[in-house]
Amino acid sequence: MDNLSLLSAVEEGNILQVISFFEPSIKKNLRNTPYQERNDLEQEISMKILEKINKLQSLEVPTFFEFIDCESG
Amino acid sequence: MEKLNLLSKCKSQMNQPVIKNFLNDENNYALFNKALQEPSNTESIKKLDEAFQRYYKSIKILGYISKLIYFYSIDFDKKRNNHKNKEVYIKDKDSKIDDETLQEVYFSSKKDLTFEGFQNHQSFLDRIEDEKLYKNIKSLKPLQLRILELIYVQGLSNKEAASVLGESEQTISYNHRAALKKLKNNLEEMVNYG
Repeated sequence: MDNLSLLSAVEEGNILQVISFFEPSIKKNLRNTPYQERNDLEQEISMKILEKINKLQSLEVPTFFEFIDCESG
Repeated sequence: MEKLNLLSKCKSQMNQPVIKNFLNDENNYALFNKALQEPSNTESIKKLDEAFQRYYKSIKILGYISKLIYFYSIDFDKKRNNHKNKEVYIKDKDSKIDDETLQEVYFSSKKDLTFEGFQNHQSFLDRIEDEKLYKNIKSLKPLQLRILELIYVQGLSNKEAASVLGESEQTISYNHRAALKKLKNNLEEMVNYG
């Protein structure tokens, strides 16, 4: 799965696909807490992503020429 | 036309990693070239703009969620620690238990762990259901066995296990890792060579 399919998953609101995209990263970061807490943390992270997905869907990004333009802003 | 002037004016922007990576993609580069060659064609410029927007957005999302996961996991652990440290038992005013017994109850956990752990030593091995693991785990040093038990059965942290065993934290950490590594290697060998 590449970045663009991540984008379409976010746009469709396909939370399962988004989470499975980040699965390796989540697993790695679970090591920040003792193993007894890891299941809890995994769930909390999934919930956090779900919470933030709306914000990501409506993210405003510049177009190519807006980005190139060094005079504005 | 004015858009192309931008390109020559703002050369530094073209060196941004985002732009470079974006143009590394064949399709994007083709769009870019087309827009350069037909500056009056708004259609090709629009296509380039859109492709870039999608690319840029996907990168932003990737970065955002990666950071979210990282910082949230750190935060989660901090909260858990805080909660653990602040949660202190308070004695009821008209409780009939005298202070001495109470103290014993409070601090017995440390005492018990060594004592009970010692008693439970056999039962730790008994808890292991997997035959291969059982065979392997017996080959560990007694200290390593104790450490695994304290960490996984009693749920202690490295620090707590160190104070129970009277060893340094480094020793605990080292032996914990060494034990897991040894188990892993042995189990892999068993699987590979029957």
